[in-house]
Amino acid sequence: MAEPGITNSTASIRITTPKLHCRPVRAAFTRSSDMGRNLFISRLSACGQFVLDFLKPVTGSRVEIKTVKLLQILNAFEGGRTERGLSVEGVQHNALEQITQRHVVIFGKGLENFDQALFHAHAGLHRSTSIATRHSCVPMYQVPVECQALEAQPAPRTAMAGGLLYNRVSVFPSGCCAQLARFPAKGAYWHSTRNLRTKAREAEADGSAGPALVSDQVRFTHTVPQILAEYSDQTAEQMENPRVTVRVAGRIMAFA
Amino acid sequence: MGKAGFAHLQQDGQRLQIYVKKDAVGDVGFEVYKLLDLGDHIGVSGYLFRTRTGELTVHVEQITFLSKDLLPCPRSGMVSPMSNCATGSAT
Repeated sequence: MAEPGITNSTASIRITTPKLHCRPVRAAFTRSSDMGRNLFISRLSACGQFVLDFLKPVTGSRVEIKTVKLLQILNAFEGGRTERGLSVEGVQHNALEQITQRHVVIFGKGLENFDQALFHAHAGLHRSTSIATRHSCVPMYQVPVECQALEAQPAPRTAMAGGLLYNRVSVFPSGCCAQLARFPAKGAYWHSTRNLRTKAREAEADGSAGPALVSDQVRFTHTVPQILAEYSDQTAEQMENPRVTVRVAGRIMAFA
Repeated sequence: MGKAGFAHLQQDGQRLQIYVKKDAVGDVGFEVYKLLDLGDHIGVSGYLFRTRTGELTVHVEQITFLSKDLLPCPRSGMVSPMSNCATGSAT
């Protein structure tokens, strides 16, 4: 068991703060291996400063110094620099940018028409989220009562791109509707939808309406159960003369 | 996929076959048809006829995309209270 004041050489430095009232450091230290035979003496100068030889393991009252290899100090600095570099690199190039791009991909394309409605306190969706009778069940937006006045106003500046009416960036008339001002995103969506419907209504009245490829409602003439009940018994010749034209909506359950 | 295709439209638990032909619905309409997936809501307009197998079918002349199915339908035999796919109560 080593005596107090005798240490072996290790790879660390530990210096304790000396107290003011402590006694001066003694000049004589011994090694544990050849104690009493090979004495190591540090010199204590007359002015009170003592000189220590760092190549030898020494210790004293409140001061404990151990030998450290030079390469170990260099490795410590190098390791710290590498670790710091890796952490900064990961934050800059991986996490934030990828999450942002993914967010844009999902909510920018898949749910484009929602216009971040989920982030608002009032989602703006209709209570039943469906159109009433004689329509297919698709989500629809709730239109405030005050916004009905916009129907009588002429449509603001619109842009035709490839035959498709596009008015998502139109500016509302000032003071037209307070509720739309509170929800500008959904208001813009509703307003663009209103323009589309108005344009489609005008085209339908002119007789130049083409097929509406994308819509939120279909005025069907029959339901699937009605068609099956009425025409299941008819033969192919009976359905050909005259032709039975139907308009039906439903959900795709299989492809053949 | 060629220039024509069949699909089954379901409403109130009953299915009706539709026949979509590129010459009838047009190029754009057929492109929309090719983008459809199971569970999507569509509306079709056309005339009724019977196929060679005798199944009642709608010859689609106009197709309207209504809504995309955001959640996958459950597998066959599974009934989920959150989905109407298996019960077939789609309107």
